[in-house]
Amino acid sequence: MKLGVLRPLVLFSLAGLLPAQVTYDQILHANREPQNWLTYSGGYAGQRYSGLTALTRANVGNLELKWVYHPKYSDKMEATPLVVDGVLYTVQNSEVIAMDAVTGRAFWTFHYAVPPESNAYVMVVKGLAIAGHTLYWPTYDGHLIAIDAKTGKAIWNKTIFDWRKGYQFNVAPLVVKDMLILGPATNERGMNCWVAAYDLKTGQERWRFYTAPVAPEDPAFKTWTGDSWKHGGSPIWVTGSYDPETNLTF
Amino acid sequence: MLQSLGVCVLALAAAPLFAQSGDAAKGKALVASSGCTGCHRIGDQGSRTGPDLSEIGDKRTAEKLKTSLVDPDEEVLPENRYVSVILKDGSTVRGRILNHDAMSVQLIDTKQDLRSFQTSAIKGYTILTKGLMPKPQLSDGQVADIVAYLSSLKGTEAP
Repeated sequence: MKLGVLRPLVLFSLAGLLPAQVTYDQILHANREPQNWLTYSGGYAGQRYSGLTALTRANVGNLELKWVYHPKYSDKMEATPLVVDGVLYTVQNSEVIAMDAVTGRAFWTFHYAVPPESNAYVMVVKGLAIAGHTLYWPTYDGHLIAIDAKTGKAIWNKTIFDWRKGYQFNVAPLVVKDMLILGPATNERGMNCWVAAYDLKTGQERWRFYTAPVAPEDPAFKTWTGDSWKHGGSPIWVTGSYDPETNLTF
Repeated sequence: MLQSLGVCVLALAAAPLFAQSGDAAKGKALVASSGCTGCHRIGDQGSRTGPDLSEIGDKRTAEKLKTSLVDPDEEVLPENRYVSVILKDGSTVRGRILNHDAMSVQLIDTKQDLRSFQTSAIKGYTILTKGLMPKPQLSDGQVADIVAYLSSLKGTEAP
């Protein structure tokens, strides 16, 4: 039994399949579309170099204010926005926003209440990652949230670690193939941190690399004096890079 | 006073009873086979052009859901309003309104693209409140089944 014949006003929304918004191939060749900024560092090489040519030494003095975005929270802004086909995505404190890059007006805003008590020092949020139609936000309190880039609705929200143990996320993830690469940091707690890959579809962990030894059997153990390996920290403070030729991330 | 309170309580009690009277599994099958996801999104499936139904069971009572099925034009929530924007270049863009102020309009269009138009580029602007959703030909039992299914949609849990 069908629900009846759809009227013309409804039919237009059925036409065609929705193309993937950001593909791995696009990120791999990010230099081909300088109008976009698809990863934290602009590309896998991590150089943060823009191929746009409109702004030059000759005209930089003529820049003028176009619009202002006033975020809800007073914390400092450390995020590098992503830009995809004229839509700018950024995050600050507990709020992700999609806005029109031309006018600064919001398409949608996504809120996630980061517990204030997890913010021991200052809320550091470096940014987002995007793949397909999904944004990925690692929150300060250890959640990894997948957000629909078109609607601003959460697709899933996964707890990666317990912030009460001293961990925090303050990097933007790096999308590599069907994985997100990121890891936690710690302030003065001396918690041993790691870099891990998480599945784009589910948030499930694929692999984990500890940045300091977690047991005496670790080959790196002998390079640590005394018991310093137990509280070496080695936090992840910056989004890494990726070499597609060797399939290595740094 | 007590009498009107009694009516109110009865109405509140009727909503969950209505939802329970249908078969959610049958309702899910009906929704899947009837093209509803051509406009509505449920979880990670379906179009974003119409209202997202992923958490509709937490947002609307069974009675409201029933009304939306049998008389879709009766109430269109502000966040689900469709607009038709006529641009000065003669083209027309339709979509679900996301934001609107004196300077510009933001919407998600029928191709599910986020679009923004400055007021200076707009010739006309119409809010569409009728005919957004077809009035389906359903038996009372089928309506109850679909309402039972929609009432069960409480959002996406972490995988």
